[in-house]
Amino acid sequence: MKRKIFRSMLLLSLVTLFLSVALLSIVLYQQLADDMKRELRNQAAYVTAGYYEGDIEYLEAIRGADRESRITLVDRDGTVLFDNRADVATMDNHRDRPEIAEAFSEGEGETIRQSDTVGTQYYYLATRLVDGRVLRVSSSSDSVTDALTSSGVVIVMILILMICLAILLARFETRRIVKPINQIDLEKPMKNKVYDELAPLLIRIHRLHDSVEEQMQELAERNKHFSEITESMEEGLVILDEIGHVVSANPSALTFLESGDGEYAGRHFSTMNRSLSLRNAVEAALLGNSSETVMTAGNRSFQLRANPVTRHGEVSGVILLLLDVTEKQKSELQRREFTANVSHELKTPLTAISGYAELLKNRMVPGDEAADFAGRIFEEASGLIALVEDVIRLSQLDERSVPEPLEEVDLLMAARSVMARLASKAKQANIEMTVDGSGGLILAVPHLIEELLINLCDNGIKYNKEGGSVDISVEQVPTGIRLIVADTGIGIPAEHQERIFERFYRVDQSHSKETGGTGLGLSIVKHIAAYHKATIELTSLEGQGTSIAVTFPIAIKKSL
Amino acid sequence: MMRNRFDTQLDQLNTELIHMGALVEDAINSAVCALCQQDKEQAKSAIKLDQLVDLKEKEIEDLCLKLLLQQQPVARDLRLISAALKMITDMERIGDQAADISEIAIFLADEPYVKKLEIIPKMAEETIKMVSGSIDAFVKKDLDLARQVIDADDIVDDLFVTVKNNLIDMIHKNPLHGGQAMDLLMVAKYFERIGDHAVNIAEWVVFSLTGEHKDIDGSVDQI
Repeated sequence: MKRKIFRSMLLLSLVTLFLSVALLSIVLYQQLADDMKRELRNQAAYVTAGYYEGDIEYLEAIRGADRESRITLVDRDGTVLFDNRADVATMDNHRDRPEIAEAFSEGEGETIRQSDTVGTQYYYLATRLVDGRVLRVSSSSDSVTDALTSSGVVIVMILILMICLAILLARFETRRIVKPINQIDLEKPMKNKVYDELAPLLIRIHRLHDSVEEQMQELAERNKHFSEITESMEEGLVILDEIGHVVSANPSALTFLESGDGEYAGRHFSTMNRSLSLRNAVEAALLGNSSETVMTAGNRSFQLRANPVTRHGEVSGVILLLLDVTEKQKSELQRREFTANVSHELKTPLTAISGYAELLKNRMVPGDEAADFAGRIFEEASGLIALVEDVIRLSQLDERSVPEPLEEVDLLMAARSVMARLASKAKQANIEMTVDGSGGLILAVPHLIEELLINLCDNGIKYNKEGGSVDISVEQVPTGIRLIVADTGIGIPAEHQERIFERFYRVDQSHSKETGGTGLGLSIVKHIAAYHKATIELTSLEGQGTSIAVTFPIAIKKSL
Repeated sequence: MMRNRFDTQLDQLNTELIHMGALVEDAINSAVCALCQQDKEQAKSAIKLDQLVDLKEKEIEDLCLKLLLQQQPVARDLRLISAALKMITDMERIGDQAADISEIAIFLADEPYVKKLEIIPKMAEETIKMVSGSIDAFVKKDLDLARQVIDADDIVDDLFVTVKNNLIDMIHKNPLHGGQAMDLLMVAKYFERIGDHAVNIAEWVVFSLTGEHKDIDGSVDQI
């Protein structure tokens, strides 16, 4: 636009300039020609007057005076009597020269033509004198052109100057016109005060601006929502484009895939995680097949769902969804193990029972031993019942479907009653039991607490040494009420400590049958503690004893 | 247009290298599982993975040569491509060694170990860490990580010496266990070599990033 304005402005001024110079020159030429004619006429008059005074001698006298004009005297018959420029002898008859012929007939004549004698363009003025001769004065028209050219140089110089000025002015003006347009603040179109002609455009821009801003805001809002949602998602979400480059990945996905911090947008997905199962899933999805696999990253397992995004029948991207299934897999494994263990635990006593029963049935047992056999069957069956009860209890605790309401329970009292119940068993094993402490009220289900105490004390008695002791203490601590059951028994080796709360886990598989028990005791303890939101701490030294501390939260006061 | 194509090809080279790295990692992991758990299936899968690694090497080599000939890359791109050419050779060797370990593992799977493996799994863990580290360094263009891998080689070398001494003790105690000791020594040596290859890869990563490559005598040549 700037250039265009400049060009048209310059063109305009140049055209004007040239036209005026051309017209001026024509006028000037005309003026000069007229001037010259007038001068010549004057000169003719002077020369004529001189001739009348001094005849031909006068003419001879001024021969050298005038360099500009040519003076010729022609006789009546056309012979040239005088010429101040040429030799008279060589000149032919001038009678039929148009101006002279005209002067003979009319008294005066003038022409502009090429001189035969001198050879340049001349303006001739011939006058018939009183004596019948003709006096001709002429001047070269070159003098006009000469005058014109001499002034022409000046004119051209002025012209060049004017052109330069025109260029400068045009440039300046262009700048002045364009400047406000350039200075328009498009961010705030209505604040500008420029040409009225631009106002509708600015209003239009203003409106567009507003709507664009609105849309941008909406978009940003939506983007924010989207990222808020994806960022707070527990599942990992990765979006890839059609060549497998990351479009977006939420923080969970980065954590799951162990990619570390960094900007992955625009980079290939394999820079995030190069596991082959991920690659296979993405490749399948890029071909349009969704898939679901379990992949591992670090030491966790993830369910990976890869879905292609299709647009107009072509895959335009892939959405990956990652779900942490480590816990799920773990619990599934635990359940499977539990089932296998229960079946095994059930099978062993049942095999014994069925063996004894078979012997009895076939009457292969002597009469006096039958009672003994029946006793063994009873023993095994009691064990089975205990096991099944434990399993039922565990599954109830698992489901958290214990229907009993919470009551206030005095831990110290409960411990005393448990000690009383286990007294005979302790005495049998030659183990001393003590209860000690300040007592403390907790909010709990009474028979579950009793069960917890029995299990802990029973273990303390069972896995103890001859003449050992089991000490129960109840004390208040800042976090609640702590129950500690400490024994002086065989202890638990460090490598097993982590696992003894697992179902059916036994430190010594071969030893377990001797001491009895279902292998579920501590597992039940763990569940009961969890039910009451209590925490369990285990400290044990092999050969020196085990101490299990259960810390119950302080009873809520409202029940008091 | 031409440039675009070049960029796509470079990108492809990058992802193919990452893929090859993943294959190599899987191959070692399988080989280690096969060895520690005496699992023949894992050993077979490691050998299969090695074949995939070999194929991948050929593929990447073709891609590199095509890039060199057709695009005549310079500076950084040239470094990346020449480093890639060297790296795949090392990765392929790692794959081979994983397969070698697997073959020994198949052989060892038939009889129980005389003594529970302790140092070798640790060595395996360290070498896997090195290989993963070198590939991670390439993926993330992480100079520090590459240097860590180069330094970690000493750990593996020390572990190899420990394994060797332990095996000598084992033979001393009972010369009948010599066969197993020899096999285990080979395995340890393979791990040590894998560590060396991982160092090579890390050095090429450093080269592709900085243009400096550690020469044999430790001097640094600027290219």
